[in-house]
Amino acid sequence: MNTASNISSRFTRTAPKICLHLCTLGALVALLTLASAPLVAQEEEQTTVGGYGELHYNEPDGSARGQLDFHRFVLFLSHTFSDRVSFQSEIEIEHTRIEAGEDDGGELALEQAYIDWRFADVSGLRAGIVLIPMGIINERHEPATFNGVERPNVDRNIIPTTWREAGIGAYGRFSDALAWQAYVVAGLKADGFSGSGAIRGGRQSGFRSDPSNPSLAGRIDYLAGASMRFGGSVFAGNTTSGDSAMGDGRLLLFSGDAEFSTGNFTARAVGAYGSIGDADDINAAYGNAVADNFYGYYGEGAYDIMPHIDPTTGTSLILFARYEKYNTQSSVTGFTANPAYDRDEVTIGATLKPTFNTAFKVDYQFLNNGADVNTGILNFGIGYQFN
Amino acid sequence: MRILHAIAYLLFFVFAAAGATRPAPAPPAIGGSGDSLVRDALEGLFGKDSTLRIESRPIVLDSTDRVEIAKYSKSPFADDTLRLYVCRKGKDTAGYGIVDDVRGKSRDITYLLVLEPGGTVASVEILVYRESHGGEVATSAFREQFVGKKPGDPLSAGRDIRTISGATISSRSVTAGVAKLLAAFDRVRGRIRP
Repeated sequence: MNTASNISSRFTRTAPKICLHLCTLGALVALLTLASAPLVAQEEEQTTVGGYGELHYNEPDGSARGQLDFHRFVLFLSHTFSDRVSFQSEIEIEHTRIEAGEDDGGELALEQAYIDWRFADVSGLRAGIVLIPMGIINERHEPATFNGVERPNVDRNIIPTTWREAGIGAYGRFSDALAWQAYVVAGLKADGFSGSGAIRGGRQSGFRSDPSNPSLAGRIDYLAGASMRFGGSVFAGNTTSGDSAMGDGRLLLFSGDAEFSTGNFTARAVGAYGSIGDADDINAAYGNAVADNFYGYYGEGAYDIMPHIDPTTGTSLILFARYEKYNTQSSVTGFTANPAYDRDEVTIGATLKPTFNTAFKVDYQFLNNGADVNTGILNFGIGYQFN
Repeated sequence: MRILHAIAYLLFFVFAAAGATRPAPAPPAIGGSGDSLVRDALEGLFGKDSTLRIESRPIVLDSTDRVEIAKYSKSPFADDTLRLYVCRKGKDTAGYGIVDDVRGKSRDITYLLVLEPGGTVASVEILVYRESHGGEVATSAFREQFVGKKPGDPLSAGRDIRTISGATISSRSVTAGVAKLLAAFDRVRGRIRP
């Protein structure tokens, strides 16, 4: 009873303040929009459809059989309401179908769905289910844009792609070369954290999201000339939904990334470091072997040899190598870290792109861990995108 | 307190609506007065002085033109009008400007190709960029790659024109657009009214 009245009195005290802030924001938005230059061409109201997909074949070393899997089938649907307001969405079917009662079946999910309001010439608001702007793959994951059949494992276990949450935010550019994004989103939930996958299981993905851990996500992108791009991101928020038995469980995740491209050579690198506060209390509550810290990084170099074979073709044949190192339990409290979670991996392979938007992929991954288990996996894949 | 609440909300929607429903600009500008963005850009490039005159000279493309232009570019001409501007200084032609839209990932990018009198590229300007990602195509490091290109030059994204990481789709769209406009200019240049 007490708590309820506390909350309601706190609400009546703070709500008008929030409303005044909203009002100021509205006025600012109106001024910015009214002040902007007239447009040379007004985009017409229109709906666009696009999509991407990827079929994988994975064959582990040894006696285990391989398997074929249409991993992702995604449809984009976007609508332009006016020159400044649009709706963007991605609907995803993972592993082709959803079976009732099967734990390991597929998934039908809304991967993105937001309204974008570009209220000024280079900045705008977006609200809905948005992608967390972290690393390279989370925002740009169409299969023809990256090498390797599977996404890098750092982009699975450290930056949990495809990471999206319900929220609201803004984006803009300080200059043509310097762009920013900032969001407030529903945060992660500690009960899903794990020793092997760090925060991956804590994502809410806009599914009946608990709003009690509002979190901040921000990113800066800087373009240094035409061939080099640097990015830096941060994600910060509590994870325990205010459960006083556990403390805040504050998660901080930082990442940096860089991309370089010149002629036929491209390279990219990503690094991320995360810390979880009150990990020992979270472990006491859920027994999920959460680490205090986790990290991962990778570097990849790729070279398109096709121009040396046939300079007139639009086809690319890209050879690449990637080194990944990640540890989902780099420091722990109250128990011993599992050495098998300290992993390093080398992937070598090729991507054949008959067109920019289609890819045939093959690679071999050498998977090693700190428990001296060294395995490998052979992957084949096809991928496409259109828009 | 509740009243304050309600007023604040009301004001937010009023202000927001004022911003969202600003008067619709004129339909796609071909000449007319709604093309100040183009004129501002051209004045900036050619130097605004009393001798500079910017004249709108739209050219209607027939189906043969469009088939021929499509042979030289990956993006077929959707429009039937080439939105051409002629810039004069005194009696001399100082250059040309062509405005066009290309599709980025899901929204149009409005850009301006500026040509020297002989038809070589003087500049590429991004006039309106509507998507939230990929706006880096507006950076000069990308646009400067087109300067000096002329009709017939190979313009393949990724080979002849370096695409911008994180703005690959937009880089490719603008590159294909410039190739298309160069082919179009080459085809119609004999028809430009003096």
